[in-house]
Amino acid sequence: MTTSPTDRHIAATLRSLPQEQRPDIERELRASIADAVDARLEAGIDAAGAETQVLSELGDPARLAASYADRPLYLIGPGLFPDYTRVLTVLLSTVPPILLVVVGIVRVLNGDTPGAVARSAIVAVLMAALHIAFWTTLVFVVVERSPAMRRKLTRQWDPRSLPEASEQRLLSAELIGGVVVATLGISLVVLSHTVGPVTDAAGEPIGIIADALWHSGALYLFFLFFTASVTSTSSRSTSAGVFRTPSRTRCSASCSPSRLSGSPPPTGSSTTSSSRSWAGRRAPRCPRSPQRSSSSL
Amino acid sequence: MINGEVLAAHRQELRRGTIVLACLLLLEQPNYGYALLETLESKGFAVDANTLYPLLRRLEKQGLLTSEWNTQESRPRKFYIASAEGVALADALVHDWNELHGALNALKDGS
Repeated sequence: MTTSPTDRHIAATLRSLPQEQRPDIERELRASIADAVDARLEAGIDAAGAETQVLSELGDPARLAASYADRPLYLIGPGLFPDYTRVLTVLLSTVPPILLVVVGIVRVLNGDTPGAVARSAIVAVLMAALHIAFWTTLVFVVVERSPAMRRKLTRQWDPRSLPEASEQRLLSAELIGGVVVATLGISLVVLSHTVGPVTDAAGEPIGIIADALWHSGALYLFFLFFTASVTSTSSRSTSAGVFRTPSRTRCSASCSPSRLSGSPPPTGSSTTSSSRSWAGRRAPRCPRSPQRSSSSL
Repeated sequence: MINGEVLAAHRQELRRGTIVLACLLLLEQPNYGYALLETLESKGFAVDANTLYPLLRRLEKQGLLTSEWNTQESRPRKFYIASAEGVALADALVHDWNELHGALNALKDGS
């Protein structure tokens, strides 16, 4: 059974539209296309040519469907894009170099040849960069498509949020410090499986995390949450004058590896009584730390 | 010499908002997709079919138009007509348009 170009065009348009809208849109489109073809037939164009003209004026079915469904034709829109590039730059400039060093050290301690050391270090860096780019992008794509989350994460840019030159270095230092600590923690956890001081009867190193936890994938979920909190924290911290609001609450020491925004305040004092409000932001992080500390037993 | 592309881009910006108002004003009388397209073109509001049809649906979703299927002819067609809110919105927009018109003319004459 051969379908006419009109049928194919309409089918392609309807494919990406919600089920309940399809019958109505189909009827309306068929009528409109038929009307347009009739008008051209009256003008003296042949039937096939008229159909082609009308359909090419209607354009790409994907675009038409997106227009009907009010779908954005981009992954990350202009609202979130600067935050996305900021987060990606920070992550890609801190994590791979650290990983390079850590993997290199571990391999050297393991006694591998320089070639193997270099190879595994570079592979680790490339894999890490790929994962960082992918998961960060994924998180931002999801946020872009959920209006509720987007409203929470973007706010009016405040010129007061541009820190002094010296503060700027401290801000990046905070973010980078948090990322460094977290990456070192994760790397050591991961690498403890291959290289470690504690060995079982056969001489194989026993990792910190039980095998079952690896297989269940819960840890990958944790890494994803970690990435998400880095992105949301940095986009919030870089998009609003957050560092000037009073009163800060701190989580317990078990949260310390995830202490992204908990690094020393600009005044340089290391006491906990400094003044910044992280209460809203800390809440999503702390409940996860019990999972982390229990999984390390 | 005006750059053709620059002129076309700014022209499109200038006209972008007028299509909705033109539709609302025209649809005080019921009409259907293709006929509306032709009428808009003849009245100087050239618009693409793939812009107009989703636009009509969007306006209907916003409550500015109501639609019903006319099955009297051999080809059933969906007729749109401006709702009460649509007419009120059109009045408000026309008012704004006249204000803008006066303001622009004052600018031109004043300077």
